[in-house]
Amino acid sequence: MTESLPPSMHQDLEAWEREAAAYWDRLTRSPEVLDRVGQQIARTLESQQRIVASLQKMAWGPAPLPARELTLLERLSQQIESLADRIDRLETRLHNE
Amino acid sequence: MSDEGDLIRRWVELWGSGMRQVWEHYLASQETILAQGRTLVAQTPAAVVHTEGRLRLLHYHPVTPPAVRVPVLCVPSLINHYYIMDLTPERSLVRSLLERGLDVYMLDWGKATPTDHHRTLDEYITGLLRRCVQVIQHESGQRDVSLLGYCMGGMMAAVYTTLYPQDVRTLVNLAGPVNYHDDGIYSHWARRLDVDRLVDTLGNIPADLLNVTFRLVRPTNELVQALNYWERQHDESFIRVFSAMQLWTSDPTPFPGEAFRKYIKDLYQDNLLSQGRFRINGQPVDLGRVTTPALTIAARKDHIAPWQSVAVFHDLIASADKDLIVLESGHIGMVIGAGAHAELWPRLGVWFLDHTS
Repeated sequence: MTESLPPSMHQDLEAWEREAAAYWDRLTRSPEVLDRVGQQIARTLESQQRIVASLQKMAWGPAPLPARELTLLERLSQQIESLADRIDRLETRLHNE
Repeated sequence: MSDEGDLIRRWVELWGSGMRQVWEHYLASQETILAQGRTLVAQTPAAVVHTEGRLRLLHYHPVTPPAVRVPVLCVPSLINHYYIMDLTPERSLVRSLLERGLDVYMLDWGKATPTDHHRTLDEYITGLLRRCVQVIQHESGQRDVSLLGYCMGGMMAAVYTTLYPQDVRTLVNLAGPVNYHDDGIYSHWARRLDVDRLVDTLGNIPADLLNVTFRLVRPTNELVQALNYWERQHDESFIRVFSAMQLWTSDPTPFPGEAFRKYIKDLYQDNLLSQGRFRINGQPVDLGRVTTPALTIAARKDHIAPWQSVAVFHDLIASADKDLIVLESGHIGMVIGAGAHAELWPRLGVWFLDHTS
């Protein structure tokens, strides 16, 4: 399958990647870019806070669960994970046999 | 130095001359890669000797008669799975230590869930980590243990040693930074982060968000990985390690919200640890009080924990018996790369034996 690629592909890609990574690194360190990204993240988080608050006010949203429910959910989730682990182990054994 | 236009033009050429099929093949193989990875990771036999919520403490079965009695506890990062230190049977730091006759335990923090949102960094270190050490002391009958912390786990092991020096016989800090005002990209990003808003909105920092952040450090690297996968798809040994690594890198665990808040604010933003002003449960953490024999291992190509920020730990501690190794690899390669076999693991094993016999 590798025959169809030009012989210099690996070298060319690595050279390109090094330069692209250096360009990206400079870009993502620039204070202007970081400020703009930071502002965008802040707006997104603010919107999310407002949406959740509005939904809760209208009784549609995910109201904070009482501690007991959280504990029960946690326990249930642990049981599911433990079952998933057992299935994974069984699959591994089947795969190895 | 290439400009944007030149980089785009050259990328279009690469795409047209074969990278398109390479990339499509790589994307189509993702499920197979991850499925194979799942069958390979964390295979060294161990017993679970303690659990607490999601946390598990693993005790590995010995493979040779014990050479020393002091147990080694491996402390991984809170946000990546522990099995980076037991990646595949042929690339396992744990197995290498066992083969040298060391008694090895592993702390698996488990995946944080919404109920872990309020867990603080203080609780992880003085509660969960401390209880694991106590279980090991009880089980092994030894007064103290050796700590081997990797990445964020290196910082946690170092902090633990300042708080409970009587528990720690030797300390290895593997790529755990203690200076956070460096030129690394995470330092630049974290210092501008509105961490309160993030934690107040999201609670735990989701694994998907962490995954994207890790990839954003060098997004083009995945193209080289795709080409490696294409070129070496019939090299079984390569594919095994590649699949396990892909699984590990694509599967971080959520960062518990309150722990994240303190980690970013106190360490990355205020850089308190290296100045001796960091506090855990109100107690000052002074690295200058560490007198335990200590080994610091940094990697020169580490983009996550720049080597100078790790190596400064060696300078700050007061241990009379201390060593510093700077490897020529990267953050992950230093633990599971082919060179780790030849260089890091044997040196680590010998160091433990020399300091605990």
